[in-house]
Amino acid sequence: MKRLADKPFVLLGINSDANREATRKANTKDQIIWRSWWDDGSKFGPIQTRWQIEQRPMVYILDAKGVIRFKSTPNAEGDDLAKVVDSLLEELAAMSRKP
Amino acid sequence: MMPKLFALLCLLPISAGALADDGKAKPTSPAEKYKALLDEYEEVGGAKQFAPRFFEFAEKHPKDPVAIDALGWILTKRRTQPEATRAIELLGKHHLQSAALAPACRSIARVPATAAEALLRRVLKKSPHSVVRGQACYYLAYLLERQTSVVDQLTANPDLTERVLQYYGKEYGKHLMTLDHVKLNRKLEKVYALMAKSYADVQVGDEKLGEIALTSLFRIRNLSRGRVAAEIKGEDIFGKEMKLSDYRGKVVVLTFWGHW
Repeated sequence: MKRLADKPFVLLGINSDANREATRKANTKDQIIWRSWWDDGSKFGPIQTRWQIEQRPMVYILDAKGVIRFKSTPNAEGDDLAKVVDSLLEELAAMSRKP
Repeated sequence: MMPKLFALLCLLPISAGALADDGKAKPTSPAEKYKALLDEYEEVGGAKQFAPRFFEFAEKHPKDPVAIDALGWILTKRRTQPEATRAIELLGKHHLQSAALAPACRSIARVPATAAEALLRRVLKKSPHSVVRGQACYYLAYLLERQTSVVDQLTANPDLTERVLQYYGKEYGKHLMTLDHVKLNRKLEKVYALMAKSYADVQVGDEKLGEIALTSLFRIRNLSRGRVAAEIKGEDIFGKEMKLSDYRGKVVVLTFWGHW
């Protein structure tokens, strides 16, 4: 995360905890620095329902155009998220170099 | 002495009955003959040895719907063997017009051979019965979903190659390895679009195809690799407005999480 601080990169969450106050406190205490949507305090909140989330944690990686480039799979061990992010940042940098 | 006598006594009533009722006990209609064949198989066992007789039966009664049951038996019992491909061939040759083809669609879709997809597509095009076409449409989607799932797992973990070849057989396994996630998704999108448009009222289990198709179309169009992600609009845990599209221009990692 620190490594990417000055890069066009953001980590966002969709939180499915039940107690909003507790989550706020925990976020401050655990120093969770990413922003999260509140999804009605349930695993069946409207965002997760719309996104048809069946297993958690679930990770999507989108490129700068909003296109889904990676989706975690149930049986994949040790999905290399950092690698995917790095290659997308590289792609973005290459694109801005040649307009 | 005793056991032998006992065995004889046990046999007597059966043979006597068979003799007395000769006309009825001997199967005459194709359905009765098929039942007799099935009973014999249940008693003796050995699907490999019995398969030729199921073929023989199916080819002897090409116009009878019960032949579909016989071929369906082969599809299930010899699913991963070359016999299954031959059964698929015969279904296509003799039963494309049959209203009884609906229940066979699932067994067809589960056969690991490229002939399975080809037959389901033919049924979808050629069957005169909308319920049969609906089933073919649903199981074609099922087949393509299974292919997609294998392709995704292989992409995430190339070490699975050996296991895929073992499980699906060399020929079909290699075929699976040539498939591509994005292309499969385009095929699936077409199948679900057709399902939504033409077979929305066909029932599979306790669901209507229309609902299944719409949920799947949304997933393919807005939640899968290669597509623009569905918008997320709402508020963050502190109550501030938050929108996914505001982050365009950045690489975004989205995580569905909680303190579980």
